[in-house]
Formats: sequence, C-alpha cells, structure tokens
Amino acid sequence: MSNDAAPAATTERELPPVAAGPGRGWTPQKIALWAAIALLGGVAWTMLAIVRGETVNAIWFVFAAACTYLIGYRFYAQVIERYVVRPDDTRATPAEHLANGKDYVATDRRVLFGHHFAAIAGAGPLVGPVLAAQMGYLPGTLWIIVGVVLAGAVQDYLVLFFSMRRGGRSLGQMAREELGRIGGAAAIVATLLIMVIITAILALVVVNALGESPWGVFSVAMTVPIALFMGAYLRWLRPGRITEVSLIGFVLLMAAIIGGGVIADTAWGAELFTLDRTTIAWGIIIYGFVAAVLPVWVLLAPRDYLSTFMKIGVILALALAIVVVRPEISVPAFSEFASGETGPVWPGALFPFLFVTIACGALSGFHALISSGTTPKMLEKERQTRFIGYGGMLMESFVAIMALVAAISIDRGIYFAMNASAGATGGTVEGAVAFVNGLGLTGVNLTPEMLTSTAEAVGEESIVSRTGGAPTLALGLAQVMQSFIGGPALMSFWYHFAIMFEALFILTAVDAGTRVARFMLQDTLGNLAPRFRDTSWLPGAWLCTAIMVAAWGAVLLMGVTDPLGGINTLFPLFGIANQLLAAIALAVVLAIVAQRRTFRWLWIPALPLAFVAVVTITASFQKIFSPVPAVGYWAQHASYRDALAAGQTSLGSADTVEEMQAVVRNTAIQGTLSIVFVVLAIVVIIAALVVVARALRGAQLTDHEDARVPSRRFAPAGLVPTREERELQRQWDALPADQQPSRGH
Amino acid sequence: MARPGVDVPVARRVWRGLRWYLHGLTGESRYEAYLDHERRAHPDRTPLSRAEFWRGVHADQDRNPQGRCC
Repeated sequence: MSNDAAPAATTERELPPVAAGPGRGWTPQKIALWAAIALLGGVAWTMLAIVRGETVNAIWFVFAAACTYLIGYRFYAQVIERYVVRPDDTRATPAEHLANGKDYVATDRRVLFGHHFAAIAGAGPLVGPVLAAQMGYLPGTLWIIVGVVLAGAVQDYLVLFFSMRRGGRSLGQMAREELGRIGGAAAIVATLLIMVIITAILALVVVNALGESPWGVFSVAMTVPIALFMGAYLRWLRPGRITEVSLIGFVLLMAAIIGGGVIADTAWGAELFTLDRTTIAWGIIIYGFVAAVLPVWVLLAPRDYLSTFMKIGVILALALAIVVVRPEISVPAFSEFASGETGPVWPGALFPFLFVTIACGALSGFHALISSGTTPKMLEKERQTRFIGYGGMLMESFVAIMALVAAISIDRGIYFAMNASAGATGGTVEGAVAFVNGLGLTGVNLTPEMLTSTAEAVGEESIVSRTGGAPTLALGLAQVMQSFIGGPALMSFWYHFAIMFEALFILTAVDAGTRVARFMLQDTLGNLAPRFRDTSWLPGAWLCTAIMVAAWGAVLLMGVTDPLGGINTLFPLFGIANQLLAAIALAVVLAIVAQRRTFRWLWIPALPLAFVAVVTITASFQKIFSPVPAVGYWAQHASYRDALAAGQTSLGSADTVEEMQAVVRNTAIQGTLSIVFVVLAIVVIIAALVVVARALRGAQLTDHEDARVPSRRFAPAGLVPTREERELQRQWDALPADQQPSRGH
Repeated sequence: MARPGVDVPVARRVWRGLRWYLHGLTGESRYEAYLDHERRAHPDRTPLSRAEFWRGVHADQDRNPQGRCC
C-alpha cells in the first residue's frame, strides 16, 4: 500500500529508516485480486438486494460484508489517510516519546488491534441488529455495512488519530479545546447523561434475559464468585499471571453454565433462582453500587479478562459456524413493517429509527471515548491508526452482521413472539400465537407447539415476550452453533452460553460506566465544593456513586415496570444518545480538520456528521412532537393523562389506574430526556460549525497538537507488511539488542 | 519480548507465537514491557516486583476509570 505522506527518512545516522516509502504501485496480480474482490462483493450484494429468492443463503451476508470492508479499507480509508489524516511515521507517537512503561507503551499492532477491538465491541452490536430485523434483513444489512465504511470507521479512525496527536487526550478534553467552553460543557453534560442512559438500558437487556430464568440467573450470578476468585488469585497467589487465570476462569464459567442446567432442574434450584424482573433489577442496582466502589482488582479487572477471552472466542466460533453451516434465511428483504411505524418490536418509521436502533456496528459514538482513551497511548507508529481505528471498527461491524444473521435464521413467528411486549402477547403461549398470527405476516404460521418445544429445547420455562434482543440472539446463536457442534442436545447449553456471554459484557459495562460517571460528577461538583475533586475521599466517592447508581437505577426500574413494555419505548433513547455522542465526536473532528486547513476534504467527516445530525434531530423531534402515541412520548403522555382525567381505569396495555399513572410519569421522563438530548446535539453542532466558519474565513486558530518529536523506531503499518516494510524490518532486526526499540507486547 | 524466532521447529514457533499473542492480549506482558522500559530508561533504580507493579496498575485504574463499550 502506498503512502505519499512520508518519504523514506532517517532521523539518526546509525539507525535504519523509521518510515517506509511509497509502495510499488499496481501490478497485474494486484489488479486481478481487487477485481475479484469487487466481483465477489457485487455478486453477494446482487443475491441479497436484487435476486431475493424465497430464501437467501447466509454466506452471501458474509461475502457482501467482507468484500465491502476490504474495498472500504483499501480505497476509502486510503483516501482518508492520504488527504485528511496525513500521518507521518518519522514523528514519534506518544507511546514512544512519553514512554513510561505503564500506560504509554508502544504495543505490537496486532496485539493492540485485539485490545482495541475487545474494548469497543460489547453487547451493542449484538442487540441492535436483532431488534432491527423487524424491518426485514436488507435495511439493517445496508446500514451496517455502508454505515461503517462511510461513518463509523471514519469516526473511530479520525478520533484515534487526533487523540494520538494530542498525547492521548480524551474526547471531553478535545471538545473543550476545539469547540470552546459552551460546546465543551455541552459535550460533557451529554456524555454524562449518555452514560446513565446506556448503563440503564444495557442493564435492562440483562434483566429481560434473566427474568423467570433460573438457569440464567444461576450461571450469571456465578460469574461474581468466579471473578472474586480470579481477583484474589492475581492479587495474592500468582500476581500478574493473567493468561492462566483467564483459562481457569473460562473453565469455571463453562462449569457454571452446565451447573446452571442441573440446578434449574431441581425443585429447590428452580424455586431459589426463579426471580421476577423487579427483583433482578434491584440485584443489579445493588451489584452496580458495590462493584463500583470496590477497588478494580476485586471484580472489574478479572471480569474484563474473562470477557476479553469470551468475546474473541465466541465471535471467531460464530463466524466459523456461519461459514460452515450456511443457514438459509427465509426472512424477507423488507418486511411488512418496513414502510409503517407500528412494528411490534419497536415503534417508528424506518427513517430515522432504523439508524438509531442499530448504533454499534454501523456508527457508535461511544467508540470515540475508547479511541481517545488507552488505545492512542499504545500506538507504535502513526500510520497504524488506520489498521487499528478503521480496521477495528470494520471488525465490530462484522460482529453486527453475524448477530443479524443469527437473529434472522430463526423462524419469524418465533422472532415476533419473543420480541413483542408482554402487553401485546399477554405473556402466554396462546396470547403470543394469537397476536403473531394476527399480524398477517406472509409465510408465518406460529403454533403453540413451536413455542413450547423451542422453550424446552433451550431449557427455559417460556420464550414468549423475552424482549431486549439478547434471548433472540442467544436462540439464533444456539441454532447455528448446535448444527456446527453438538447437535440438538447442546442447544440449551449454547443458549445459556450466549446469555452468559452477553451478561458478562453488560455487567462490566455497568460497573465501568458507573465509575466513569462518578468521576465526571465529582469533577463537576468540584467546581462548587473543591473537596469532591479528591477522588480518593471516600464519602465523596460513595455519595457520587450512589447518585449515579440512583440515576440509572431509576431508569432501569422504570423500564422494568413500564406497562408499555420498557425496552420498546427506551431503546430509541439508547440509540439517540449513542448517535448524539457520535455527532459530538464528529463535530470535534470536523473542527480539527477545518483547522488543519484541509478544506477540500472536509466532506469526509462532514458527510457522517450531517447524516447523524439529521437522524438524531429527526428522531428526537418525532419522539417529542409525533401525534402518533406509539411514536411520540408526549402524545402518549397526553393520551394517558386525558384518559385518567376522563375517569378511565384502563387504556391499551395498562390495565389499572396505577399502571396508567406509571405511563404518564415514564413518558414525561422520556420526553424530557429527548428534549435535553436534542438541545445538546444542536449546541455542539453549532459550536463546531462556528469553528469551521472561522477557519474558512482564514482566522488564525490555535494548534493543540503536541510538538513534533522525531521517531527512532520502525514497525509496519498494516496487518501484513509490504515488501519494503519487510526489508526495513530486517534491517532493524539486524541491530544489536540494545539498539532495538523497546516493544512492550 | 518473546517474539517467534527463526531457527526453531514449526510447532514450537506456533506455540510461542500463540503464547506471545495471548500474553499481549490479556496484558500479562505489560510487566515485561515495564521491566524493559526501566532497564533502558532508568537503569539506576530497582524496578518494582511483579506483584507491586500490578498493584500499581490496578491503583491507576481505580483513579482513572475507563468506560467499556456498549
């Protein structure tokens, strides 16, 4: 791959060059290879989007995604590298010039890719695509694949690079520097609110997956003692031996899943571990508080090690299983709900709500926090940002595609029975069958036996109205995996394996999100009472943790007890919050690109920013102003308030006056949050546009980049070194050991 | 810095490569990286022991929490 940014250069006479020059350009073999990739991708897209037979094979999703990613990485990311990013490998990265052996450590690019991927990929790309499947497979597939190439990966790449040029500064700090005080403050408030919403809704996904499921409750609860054991092992028995303790933890996790099946079959086990959703929600709230005030080595760090292992292992296994099993998909490209706004899984029209339902996997603002966190402090060379930032996000997108494939490989009737709210199905098999068959979907004929036999196969009491996406994904994953390994006998194992896997990430995210939010709150309160700035001051830490837990706990309980179904009404807020953070990140990036005076290429960050701004603002406006009660929070609020005023005692799925009052209260909170989000988004975008306009008028702007320090080390930029990079590597390898650069991992 | 060598049998190289990658991915090799850094940058002072180093890492994480993605 060529690079015109830096000619071969030497900083010290005795060292070989630290940067590779431009590559050898196009050879006939390369042209043939890329033509073949383009052709295969074209055929795959034709099969998905145009041919659309009775069924479509899942392998076409894999090809369409992989070929588009390769082309996006090879061509579009190269344009971004050459004209927007303009990396300079003769310049030392923070990991080199600030090296301290602790957080600033130059790390091998392949290891860092794994780290970064494990940090960005969580439950989000697994849940959103599942819910989006209500519209059919094509809208979600198109948005995930096209969105990542033009928006999500661009955001991650640019944020990572600019943060690296600023010594690994965080998104909040960059927003304050680049957008000024108002834009910066709005960005920080938005981040804090988003943390609360995201934590609450992720917790709601876990609650919904574990409600009335003794097997799930037991195996997920066992992760706590397993993590405690791992923490103690690393603290006292064998400090720092993370790989071995991760393997031990993994074996214990498998035992917990198998043990859960045995215990759920016993009378006492079923009685002890069958918990209703409100109890589980309280359990997670208490867990969240305790976990967030304990030192990280007790629970958080060991849980992280476990989830890194599980994440990479499961994703590789699922990819392999999909390629080997190649399930036939009978879901239509566009479903009956694609053109309306009354789908049973989530309300709202395809535009804009598909684009907020699928956030992670296509464009996730949260990644901007990770890309401006630890990763930029570990980069070995500037040009590796493309592989880590852009490439890492492509991998996450691939995870989202696999989640989508897993979700659409299950029967559509079962899909809707699992994802329609309990208000619609009544929570019973008969109610679900009547509701789903009443939807009038072509080719769907749900029978009670299908629901009971599926529930039995996965070892659950019932699968009706198991909303939130996680159970649906678990069922899809179990179906694919059992035809790959183990057969029907292992179906229930794989189902609970998937539930455990998602709960593991989410509980880590809950714990870590509470900590981050607590620090942000302490920092803000520190402006009023300086004592709060001291994060080791226990009363302050406990108080702020309690406030943050109360905030997300209240939203969680609201979702759990919501008569309208909870996840259906709250999930759009999650997506809007995440995309709002993306808008903030892209606004910061746009301001930086404008200040670097690369005006001709300003459209590269402007395009995703414009799109995400239109999506979040339209979605928020519809949530605020839509007269359709299912879509508009305030319309719903008014209809319930009026019904109460008129003396009615039930409306829709609310059967009592208390439930109706709950709807009035919940919709007011959700509606208010929508207003706050949209106002913050508009403030930040205007702040960015002001900076861009000033740059366009030629105003002299402050450069916040660190000073240039010459690099004294070399490493290839991409996964596979080019011929010239291999040659340079040989020269570096030939140096005596004491002249070799220190490479951490 | 256990990078796969050249004049070693294939099975051994694969095993070493796998170990190297897993240690990197889990962060286990952060201690070796630290030792390497100390040896080069501060040869005059005694580096922390493995247990002390990890206590420090966790204390740092307590002070600077990082979000996990959704």
